[in-house]
Amino acid sequence: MRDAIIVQNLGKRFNRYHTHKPVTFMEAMISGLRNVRPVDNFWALRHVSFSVAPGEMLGIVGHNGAGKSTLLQLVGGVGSPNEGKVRVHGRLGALLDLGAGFHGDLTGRENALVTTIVAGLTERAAKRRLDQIVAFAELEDFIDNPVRTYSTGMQMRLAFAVAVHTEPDVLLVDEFLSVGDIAFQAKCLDRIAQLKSQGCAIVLISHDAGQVQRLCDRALWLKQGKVNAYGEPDVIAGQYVSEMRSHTQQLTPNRPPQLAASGLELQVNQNRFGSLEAEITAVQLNPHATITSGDALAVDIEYQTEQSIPSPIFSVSISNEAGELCLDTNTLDLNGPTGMIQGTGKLVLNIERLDLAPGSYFVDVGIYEQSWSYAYDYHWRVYPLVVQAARPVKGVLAPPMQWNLRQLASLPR
Amino acid sequence: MAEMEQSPHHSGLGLSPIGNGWLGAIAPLRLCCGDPCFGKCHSIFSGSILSTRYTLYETSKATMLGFQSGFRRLNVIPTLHRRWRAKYLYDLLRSLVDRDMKLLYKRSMLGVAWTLLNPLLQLMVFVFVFQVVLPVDVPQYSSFVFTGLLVWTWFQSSLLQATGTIICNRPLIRQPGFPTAILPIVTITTGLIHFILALPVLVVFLWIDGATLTPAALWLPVIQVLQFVVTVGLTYFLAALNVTFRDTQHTLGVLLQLFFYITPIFYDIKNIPVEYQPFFFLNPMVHVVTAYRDILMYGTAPNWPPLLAIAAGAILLMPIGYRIFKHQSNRFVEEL
Repeated sequence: MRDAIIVQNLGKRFNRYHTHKPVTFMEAMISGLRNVRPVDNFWALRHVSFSVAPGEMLGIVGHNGAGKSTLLQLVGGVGSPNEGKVRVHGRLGALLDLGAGFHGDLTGRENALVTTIVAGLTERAAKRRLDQIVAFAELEDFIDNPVRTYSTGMQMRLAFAVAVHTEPDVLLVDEFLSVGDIAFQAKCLDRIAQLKSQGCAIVLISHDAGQVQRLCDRALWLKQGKVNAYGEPDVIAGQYVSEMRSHTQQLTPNRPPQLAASGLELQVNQNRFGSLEAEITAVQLNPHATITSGDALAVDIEYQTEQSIPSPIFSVSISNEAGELCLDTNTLDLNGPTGMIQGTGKLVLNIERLDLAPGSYFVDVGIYEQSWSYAYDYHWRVYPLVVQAARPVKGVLAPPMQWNLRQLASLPR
Repeated sequence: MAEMEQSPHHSGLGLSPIGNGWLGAIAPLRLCCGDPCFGKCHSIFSGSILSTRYTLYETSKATMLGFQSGFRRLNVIPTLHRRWRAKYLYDLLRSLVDRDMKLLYKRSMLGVAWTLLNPLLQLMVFVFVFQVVLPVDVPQYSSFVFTGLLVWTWFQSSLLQATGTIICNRPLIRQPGFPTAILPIVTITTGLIHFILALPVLVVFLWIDGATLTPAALWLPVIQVLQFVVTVGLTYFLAALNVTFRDTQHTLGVLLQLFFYITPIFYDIKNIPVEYQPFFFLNPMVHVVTAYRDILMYGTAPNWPPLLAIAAGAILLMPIGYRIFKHQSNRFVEEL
């Protein structure tokens, strides 16, 4: 079958302008037309080739600034390449800036109709699909209210519903899976799978390698605008993740061993990883490093940083001696971005009760760059935790529980 | 997130695009309160300034214009495709105009009546000033001024609004396959609808002033199409310029204010001393306004030669303007 998307040797060049490039006539006149010309240019994408067949899903992974979004735009026909060719057969649909085109004063129905027409359907076709869209977004009761009264989640649901009901032949998706609750996410994935089985070619951008591995038939890894690898998602995702780790290792400076509060020696690249731009100076488990199952546990993390660091992510995980992960949490998932940190500080994770089975565990603590691209400091298997229990329990959990036996009737002898 | 930030300096610029004379009142009310995109566009504007150290633009000329639209839907029979495409563009235009109209009048009690109230109030001021205070010798003065005002209002509001059309519609331009060139047309069509809605009032004035409509009035749609084409041609250039210099809208407001005075809206071209008249005839709007008066008030055919020259000029400039517009809108969405 003919490919739905063919990209050949694609290249896109951007100009770099002076920081003080004038943006108004006034400024341009005052600066005497200085700084109006570009000072420099660079290739945001170069020598990129791939093709996607109908019914196939391609995942594109890469760090911020690797050119993923530029590539998606060019495939979408927004902007023109400086080199190479893009061919797309069939109607394009896109899940980009979901809900950005909505107007708060118009009702959900009016917005949905306009957006559907903008996406490429005639008015008749759009009206025919409107009920389906509303039902999919689960907004029957609110559809005639102005969109400004909607929550962000509701807007996203409506925008997603519109995008997947335009019956595209080619669908472009930019990091979409933060739409709504888990149930709605599952529905979205179902719908995407359905489109795919109907022969829609899909391109998905993600910096989550796991997602690409699970969903895609092929993967492309972009690195500084060039194709670093192209092929099986399992292989590419593996390579991508391992490079992220080794990137952290390379950034880890050499440092004589330090003694942690637990009495264990902290040794760089053995139980401590990271660039050390921010450091974990002390970790304390309160009330004790030995607790009874079901007790509360507080993890105190003291940190220190010379320079200011934007929104780092703090992460705490507990794993057992076999290395099985029992708990894994971080500030981004729980609280959102932390904001700028600088100097010294202390962060406490309060776990109200820890119903772990008795045994020995380690509490691993880390500080990561705001987009998880590498670790500033990560202490691995440094802080032991012992959980005791009155009675032995096998498995991972030991929640409060009891057996109740009630005899309903005794059988006649 | 950066788009949420608004610096006081830029929001000031965004809110007063018309210039500051009393003539600001000529722009219909939507420029002052109803325009849905002013809030958005200046926030995008200030956001991009605050958050990016470098601004990145594409370098190429718009060489690939043809190729982009050419490859979509190769699998459809060409003629069928063309008919479908025309139908689609019509639907798209209608729904976008419909959206604009709804946004304008959603929260106002008077609704479309505003459209009439605005030129009527201006008319009252002009009639008072130039019939009572400084009498001007123009017969049927109310009809004369009202015709001019309606034509000029359509022209000015379309130009001002359509100039912001690229930077106000980022989500639409980023939509794959969206025909960006339709955006100024949407704005101008919305203005045309307001113009047409005001026509019955003009007829009433003509009747009061004792002018009778003759078959020459049937030229009206032709003159409107002509003005439409001229306006579209101009807005392609202006909207494109506004991407590079964000104060284009502001500057344009001032220029249009000056042009209002040197176009015979509230005076007759015959009042101007003969030695200055040739300069006035260089302004295309002079001929357009005169043509409307010829067919509606005096019942004569318009003076075709200058009108045809204007039409030819507009049609010649259109493809160039279109290319620049397309190029700049691409550049705008590619800015990092």
